[in-house]
Amino acid sequence: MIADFKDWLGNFLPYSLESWKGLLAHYNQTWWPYSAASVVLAVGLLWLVFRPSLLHGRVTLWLLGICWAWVGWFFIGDQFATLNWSARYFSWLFILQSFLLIIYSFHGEMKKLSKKTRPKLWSSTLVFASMLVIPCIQILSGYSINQLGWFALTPDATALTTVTLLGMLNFLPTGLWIIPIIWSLFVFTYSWPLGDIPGMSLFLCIATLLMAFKLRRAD
Amino acid sequence: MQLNRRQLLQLTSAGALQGWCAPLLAESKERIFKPIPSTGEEIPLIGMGTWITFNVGDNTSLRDARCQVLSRFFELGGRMVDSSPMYGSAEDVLGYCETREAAPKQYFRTTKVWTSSDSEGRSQIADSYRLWKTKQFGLFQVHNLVNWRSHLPYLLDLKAEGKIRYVGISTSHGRRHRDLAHIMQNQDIDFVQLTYNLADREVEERLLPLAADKGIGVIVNRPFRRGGLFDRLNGVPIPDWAASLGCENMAQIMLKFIVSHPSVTCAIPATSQLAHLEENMAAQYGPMPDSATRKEMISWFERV
Ligand SMILES: NC(=O)c1ccc[n+]([C@@H]2O[C@H](COP(=O)([O-])OP(=O)(O)OC[C@H]3O[C@@H](n4cnc5c(N)ncnc54)[C@H](OP(=O)(O)O)[C@@H]3O)[C@@H](O)[C@H]2O)c1
Repeated sequence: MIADFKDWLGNFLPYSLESWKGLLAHYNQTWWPYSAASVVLAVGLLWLVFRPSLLHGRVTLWLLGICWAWVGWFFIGDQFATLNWSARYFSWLFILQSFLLIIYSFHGEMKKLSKKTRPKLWSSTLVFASMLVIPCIQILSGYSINQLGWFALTPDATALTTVTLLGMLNFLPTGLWIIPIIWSLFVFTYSWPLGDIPGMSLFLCIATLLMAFKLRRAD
Repeated sequence: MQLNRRQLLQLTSAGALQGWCAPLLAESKERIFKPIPSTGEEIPLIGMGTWITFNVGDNTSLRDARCQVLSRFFELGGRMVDSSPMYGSAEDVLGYCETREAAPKQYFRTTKVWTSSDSEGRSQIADSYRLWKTKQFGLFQVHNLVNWRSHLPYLLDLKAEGKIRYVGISTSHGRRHRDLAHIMQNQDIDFVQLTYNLADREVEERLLPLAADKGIGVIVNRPFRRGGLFDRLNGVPIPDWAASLGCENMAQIMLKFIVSHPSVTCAIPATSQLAHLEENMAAQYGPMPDSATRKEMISWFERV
């Protein structure tokens, strides 16, 4: 029955794994070398979580907002929607998430982040790891270097890093994790019939992180 | 008595000429063409679909690889290429191949309109002309019957203006057969596109006889169930009788089963591989199975 369901899902999938990898390669090539700016952004974000404060928390959310808007417009709307027409709706969802990040940056709870909080090495380490998890799984499952999906440039690594960053700031309002979860479920529905392990693992990673963060807050 | 092609086809499907016509098909080693019932224009038995396979986005090396497949398709005598706005970048890639001279000026361009909105339908149709870089389509179909009441009259207008040569309706996966039968009975269409293969034979009951009766051409999609039939036949040895049909592989067995049905005009397998394309195109050559062999093919398939 599970095989039938997978086959049924496959009927709606308009492209192959080869085309998906080809799209990543084309996108990476199109934006190189400007995409190197994402490394600067990543390092900046790591530094910001290393030194938590209200201002740094806010800037973190603003920078994340820029990443979501970029990915929504340039990756999903401009590229992915040419392969998969249903992705165009996600382009708008990503832009909505970017607005939400900016709006939530003025949320009262952010004030709990004070200058007195000590720098947190392990927070930065976890965020760094979450930026690299998806590209690592991609390499292990046979993607080549030019086909990897990086944080701030592609949706999966951006969604995963966002959830980690928010968790590390101990700031996970429902309004900010709904879109990452919806996205990871959508990714699962097409990655499964494609046999794409990196895409399939995204939901697992995000759901596990969210549960861990929620449990930590409940303690 | 002189019979025109439409009458000949109708009689064949009704079984009246089965004994006369089947050996003719069965013995031939020639490339076989079938007439489009509404005009008698002859087309090759094997065309090409583009769902998934030609949806490669903007990646130039994948686009060029597909152009090679398309170019080889024409070298092997192919004519009908089927696409749809639903297939992502496939129409765009076909237009790209045309600029790379992978396609002749004239071929049987086949696409669809697929939207529930009237106005979006008009702009989708205009987009298809732009993407394929053509002024005339061989066939324009209403995809999966979506909003056919509005799209069909518009397509018939375009046909009257000479911008489309044939008009049709498509469905697949056995969906909406009752509605399709109703359209076939009451509308002036040249083609239907539907799913038929060794595993999905529901259309033999009603739709294929109806197509013959009404003089409507039949294009068969999903001849391999999107590749699933190869998985099902994986490890099964090629049966002994396949050699007498000139079949060297499962693809040819499956395709010859389909195109030897008297009501079927052609099949449109999709592939991204040159080797697969060559296997598929070889199925347009005789000999073809007669009705007794077709029955044997079904019972073989049901056994394995
Ligand atoms: N409603 C509609 O209007 C509708 C619905 C469905 C389909 N269609 C049309 O019908 C066309 C055909 O249907 P389809 O694409 O769904 O499926 P299909 O033609 O039944 O199967 C295509 C699959 O079979 C594989 N294949 C092709 N030739 C092969 C060979 N000789 N040996 C081994 N594998 C082979 C291809 O893989 P490789 O790339 O590896 O060769 C591909 O994965 C579509 O492309 C589309 O144009 C229309």
